[in-house]
Amino acid sequence: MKDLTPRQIVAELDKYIIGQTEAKRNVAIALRNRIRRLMVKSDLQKDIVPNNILMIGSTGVGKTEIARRLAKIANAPFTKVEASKFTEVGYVGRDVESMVRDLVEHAVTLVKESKNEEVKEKAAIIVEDMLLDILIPPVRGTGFSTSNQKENFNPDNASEQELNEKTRERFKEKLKNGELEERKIEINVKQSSPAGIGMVGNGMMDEASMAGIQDMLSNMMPKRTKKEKSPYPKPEKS
Amino acid sequence: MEEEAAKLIDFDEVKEQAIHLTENNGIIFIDEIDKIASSSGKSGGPDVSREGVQRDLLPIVEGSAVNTKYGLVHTDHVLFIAAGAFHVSKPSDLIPELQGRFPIRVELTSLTQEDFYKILKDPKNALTKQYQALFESEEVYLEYTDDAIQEIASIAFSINEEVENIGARRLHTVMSHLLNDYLFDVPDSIGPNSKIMITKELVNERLNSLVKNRDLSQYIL
Repeated sequence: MKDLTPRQIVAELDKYIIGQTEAKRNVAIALRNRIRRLMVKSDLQKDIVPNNILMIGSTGVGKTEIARRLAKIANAPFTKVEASKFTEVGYVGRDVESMVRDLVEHAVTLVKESKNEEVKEKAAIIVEDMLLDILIPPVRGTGFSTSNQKENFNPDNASEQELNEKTRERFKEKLKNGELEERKIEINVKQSSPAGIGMVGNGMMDEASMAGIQDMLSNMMPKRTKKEKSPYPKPEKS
Repeated sequence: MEEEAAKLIDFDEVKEQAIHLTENNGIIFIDEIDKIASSSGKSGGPDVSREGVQRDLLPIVEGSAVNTKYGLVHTDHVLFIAAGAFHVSKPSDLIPELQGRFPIRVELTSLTQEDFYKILKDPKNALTKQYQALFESEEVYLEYTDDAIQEIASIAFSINEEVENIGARRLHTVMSHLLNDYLFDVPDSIGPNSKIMITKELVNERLNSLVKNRDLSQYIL
């Protein structure tokens, strides 16, 4: 919202909310005032406190809607809480401080997002470099470890290697074609396989929702302890 | 790729910036604030979720340091927007300290029939457009005449007057009642590529009986 003037904020709100000009104006002023405050030289800046707003109006006139739209317009940490959900500190239930915690949580997400955006290209290059490095070792790695283990694993192992081979071929193509979305998933699969997750597991994950997998895998990734766990799930599934 | 990106991000820096951002730009919207205002005279026993909460709110609204998992956050410059209907209680039922912390009071006016008409028509996400989109997914094209929309607005308005004022949400109930039969018939008896024209007569036919029968509309609309 860097450059949104009060008038522009109102105009933006007007797209979704009818009437209530006064409320919109006040909200817009409050938003703008925060930017103004940050421009003020430091000693005075501290003393300028925001003018908190109390909106009064019967149900269904747009109070909540204004807040909801405001959240989208203002590129700022935003939380909406229902006062009726809180209880006094010390009683069972949410205490009022939790809204500040929520707010910080949102701020962290915002900052992370913008940071992600910043390093995106850098990351892409690194990932590309890593790709082939990662691609080949996993096949060898699983080959070694399973052959050292029980014989039962051999059929499993073979298919695993085959699959690895196939995905590798497919993957190289995709890399050339620059199918970014696909590539994201493949990387995670590859990276997790040295950590000892069997191909069976991967096959299943492909069916699951993409976002879910990525989160899950990234959580699993750093934990190398998964390696030890791998012998157990495999026989169960085969 | 996300992981690589994550590695490139200095998380301490993120924390620091996030806290800075919160302190300077954070907005907290407190809805239903009237629900924690205790209407005077009703006191008796500890009021766990009313006055107590208000007192808890005071330091936060006024500015205090709250411990979060990312570090201390000072709330001095966080903007608070509170909203409430104040049907039963009045803003003056809030404890005075809290009232003082919300210097700007805005009253939102009740919606007029004209407002309803605009709400149905103008916003990007207007209800009429939503239904059109729903029907279009079945390749049925829904259209409204202008006076039909006027009529819907006026019906919604008069029900609000007579039964209970639930504001713009009334439009939802009216619209869904109006279109429910069509929604049921598509695509079975109303096939693809057909058109539905919503006219004033149609609106009247479907809804007027309900409007007149106030007892009934208390339950249906």
